[in-house]
Amino acid sequence: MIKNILILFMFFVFFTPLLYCARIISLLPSYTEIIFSLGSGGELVGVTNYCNYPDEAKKIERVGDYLAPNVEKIYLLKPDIIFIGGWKNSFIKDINKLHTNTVVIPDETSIDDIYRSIRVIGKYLGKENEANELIGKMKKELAEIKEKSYKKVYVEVDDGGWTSGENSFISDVISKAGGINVFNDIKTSYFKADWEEVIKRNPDVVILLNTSKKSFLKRPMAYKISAVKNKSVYMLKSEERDMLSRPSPRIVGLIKKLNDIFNKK
Amino acid sequence: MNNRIKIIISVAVFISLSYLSLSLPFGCDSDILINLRIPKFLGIFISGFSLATAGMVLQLVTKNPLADPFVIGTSAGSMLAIILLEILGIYSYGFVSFFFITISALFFTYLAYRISRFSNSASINMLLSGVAVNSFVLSIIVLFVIFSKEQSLYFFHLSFGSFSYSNYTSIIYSFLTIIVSSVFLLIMMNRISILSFDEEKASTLGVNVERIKFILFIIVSLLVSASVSLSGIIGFIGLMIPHITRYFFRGMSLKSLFLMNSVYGASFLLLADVISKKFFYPLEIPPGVISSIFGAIFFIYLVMGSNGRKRTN
Repeated sequence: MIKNILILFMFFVFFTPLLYCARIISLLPSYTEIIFSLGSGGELVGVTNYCNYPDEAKKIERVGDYLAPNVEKIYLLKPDIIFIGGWKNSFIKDINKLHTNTVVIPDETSIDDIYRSIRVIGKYLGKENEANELIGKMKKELAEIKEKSYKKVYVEVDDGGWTSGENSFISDVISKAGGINVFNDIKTSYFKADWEEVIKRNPDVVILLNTSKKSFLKRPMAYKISAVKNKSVYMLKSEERDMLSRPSPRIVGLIKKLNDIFNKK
Repeated sequence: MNNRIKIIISVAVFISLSYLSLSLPFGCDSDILINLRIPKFLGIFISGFSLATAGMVLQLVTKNPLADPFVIGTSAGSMLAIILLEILGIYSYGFVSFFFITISALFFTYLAYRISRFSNSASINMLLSGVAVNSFVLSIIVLFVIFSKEQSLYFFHLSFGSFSYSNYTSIIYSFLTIIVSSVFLLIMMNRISILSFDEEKASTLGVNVERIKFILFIIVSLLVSASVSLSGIIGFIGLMIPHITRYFFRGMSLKSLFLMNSVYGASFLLLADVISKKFFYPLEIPPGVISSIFGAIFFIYLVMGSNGRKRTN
């Protein structure tokens, strides 16, 4: 009997620190994905309305969208750590009043910046080893993509010719996948391109995010573009759109897929 | 200066802007000229023509110098119909779509007018009720855009306006529409001029004021639908251009005023296109952005001007 109690006592002494876990709130879908891939998904107590990956994230309490999170709800969830992006975070002064540990992570404009975000999140969750492993895995998988097609790629982010230029995340994704953004020489990250110029630059591959393929093919002189001639106009599914718009570990899968598309003969 | 000289100068400016719009950026083959630039030019012309004319008619009917299809909600009404048809998947350039777009535009314009009738000073309140209707329709549009999951639809394309994707089929319908409505306007011209002076006098002269207003609202809706289905919403053209023409051509007959007005409307949009191509190419600055920058400043100028006049009185 005493022996049993002793074993039980020892059990509690050893395992109570392990049972304790931080209460995390993530205010960007990409951070939610990173936290899950570091194995700390169970510690998340609050996510944004748009966090839909992985499926477990959908069950977690929602604290509003990124630009206007519900600070009252965040307070009620009693978080230990809140991860906030560096982009348009004017709400941060309200959150700072809660006296919790807020971590502001700078914007990602390239794949390398994702590694930095993973490292930061790993550091605060005490999962540095897992973070390094994840980064190593991503780097290895990206290194496996060797075949570069150097095809000219036109990405239409929003209907009406809204595309991205040189210093954008999308541009980096395309170059990692072995292609070249046709608007590489424009120093703006998001702009409306003149349709005539798109035709003149004659992309080999067209990637549509929010434009329907039908309406793209109906545009005047679309038949002149070599992507249309080679039937290389692709519309991303909503899941793939999420992958492209979120700087998270999932981007590697999308880069592989784009690489396959670019290398298609 | 003689009116005739002013007309010659205006037409010369129009022609040179047309030339610039067609030839900028320099160096293109005939294929691009025929399939891209000429439809774009025609689209700009039709849009400028119809928006300026619609603005002029609205300003005369409501006797409000600030009336404009964009402010009153006619443009938003047509855009709502386009977005709805797009969601249902049946939007195409054709008479059926066009009919719905016009009906929607007419419905919201007339709604704004009826609401304003509840008050005593109708000419002021048409603008206020129009602003309310306009923001109501725009928020419905945004709701639709949020809940249509698959695509951002035409929303981006329509909310700032663009002529880049004009093609001959879309232009033919809009062109036919502006011809029909111009003919009706010409027939109605005498009644408009009576109406624009004094409604009471008009009704003693045996003019059915309400009916004529309704017909004029139909014409305005037709004109605005022709423009919105081509290019999306372009604001403030209908506000700005009639003032400019009336300032330049004081004491001209209403018919010639309407003609010059449409020429000025087209010239202004051509200027916006030339500015975009000359200074920003290969980026495209939507014509709605440029027109709203000028138009909003002009709007403020008008408001301040009218206040100043009141004070001196």
